[in-house]
Amino acid sequence: MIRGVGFIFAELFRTSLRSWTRWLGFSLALGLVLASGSALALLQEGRSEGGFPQTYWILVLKLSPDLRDEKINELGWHFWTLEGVKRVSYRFAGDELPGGGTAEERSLLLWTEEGSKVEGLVKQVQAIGEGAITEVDVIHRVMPPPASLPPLSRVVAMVALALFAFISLVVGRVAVGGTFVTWQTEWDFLRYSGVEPWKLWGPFVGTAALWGLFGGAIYLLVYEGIKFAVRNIVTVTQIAPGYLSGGPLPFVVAFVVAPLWGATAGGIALFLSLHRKPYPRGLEEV
Amino acid sequence: MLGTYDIAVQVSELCYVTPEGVAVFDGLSFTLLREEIKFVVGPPLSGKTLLLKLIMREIFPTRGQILVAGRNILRLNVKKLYRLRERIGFVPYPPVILTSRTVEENLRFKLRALGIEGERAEEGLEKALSLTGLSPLKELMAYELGEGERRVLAIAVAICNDPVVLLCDDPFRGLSSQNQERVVETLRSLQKGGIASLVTSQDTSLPQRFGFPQEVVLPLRPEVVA
Repeated sequence: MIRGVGFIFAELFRTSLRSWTRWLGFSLALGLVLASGSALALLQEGRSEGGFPQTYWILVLKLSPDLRDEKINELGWHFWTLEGVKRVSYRFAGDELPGGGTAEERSLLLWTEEGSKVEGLVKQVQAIGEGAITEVDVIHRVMPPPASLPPLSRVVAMVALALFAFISLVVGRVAVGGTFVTWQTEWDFLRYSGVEPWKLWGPFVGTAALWGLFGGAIYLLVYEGIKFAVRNIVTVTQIAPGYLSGGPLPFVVAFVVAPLWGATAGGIALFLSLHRKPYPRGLEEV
Repeated sequence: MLGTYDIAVQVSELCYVTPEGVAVFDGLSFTLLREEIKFVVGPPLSGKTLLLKLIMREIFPTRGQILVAGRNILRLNVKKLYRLRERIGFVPYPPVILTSRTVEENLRFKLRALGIEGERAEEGLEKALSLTGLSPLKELMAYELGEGERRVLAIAVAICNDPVVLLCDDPFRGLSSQNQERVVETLRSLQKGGIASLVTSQDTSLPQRFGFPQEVVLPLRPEVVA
């Protein structure tokens, strides 16, 4: 029987607006929990190795103009299996080459870190790609290390998550406690009217969930705003590749995790509020 | 012979022993008929409020049986208990009213919280206001009412959803004799309207003072609760 609970919820939510600063504080604290949680999740995907400059020898294999795409693909897979080849990539004519310059023709690029094997590799690819490869150039490049964060950054994100979670519980306790005190007479009034207990505490949990959802919306706005601002910064892609690639994470966090966290914090806070006073008022005396 | 629908509350062989081992009630039995007012009188700590708690099943007795509107309240599941609980009007001491709302809003608040709307709500509202004589005051804020009128408003709130019985916990305490008379008038009006009342009072002489016969007074032993 859920009749009447919508009315009680609406009345309680209206009461919560009277102490909107406390509830806004709760929403913001909850937004920080979500932000630090997201940071922790996104940083897990980023590179963790320390950065050192990497030395590469790149064999630029210029391809015959009449070579079909299937053949190029086949050659690429074959070259990738050769000993010492770290990576194989492809460039159209006019594309930029690693470290500067442009490709004059369609080319396959074979990357190796072992300079001693360059000569042998050149011979091998010329033999394999006879007729398909017109010329082989070797470029020596020292590549800057990819951006990375120190492992401590994840520890910091974890500590921030725990800290903001605690703060959100404390602020939630203050918000729920304040509204509970304001709503005390209505609580007793309804209790004596024979309203079922869950219709008394349920709206509190619902109100906390709604303010949690508001915190989630703030989080989502900030998340998408920052994403828009840094969308062209390559370093961000290297540190947190999942951030710019999109995905459902922020929406799940804002619309599922936020209200759930709000409801949980609200439930805990209400439990503490209820156990601070004799309950129910007026029935203590025998 | 009385039928089920003639009896509002029937208490049989009620026993209640506190956790400390004090027997507050030992075989208490009484019947409250529809359209009857019964007074439970006794000094503080004699078990008046406890009796009301037992009838509402706020707590369980040690032994005995309590029927409300023919239903054994001790055997109901929680869902059925709350359905029946809605048919018990209760006025606690001190009475709880919403002072920042009007008289009418107080009643509507309860009705809407119980999910009672439309014609049934309007009927309940009108009946409660007319039985308690609060119709002329329905637009007033509750904080503007005098002490006696506030007690009457608490009674109106308790009966607006058409209960079979009204349980009133010491509604006369702290009131002037004029206001006490106002409350008694209201209880008599409810009686005429078909609502039984079980009223507690610390003042053992009050029922006689207002002309109620001795048969409707249920005296409790003094100070049985430690």
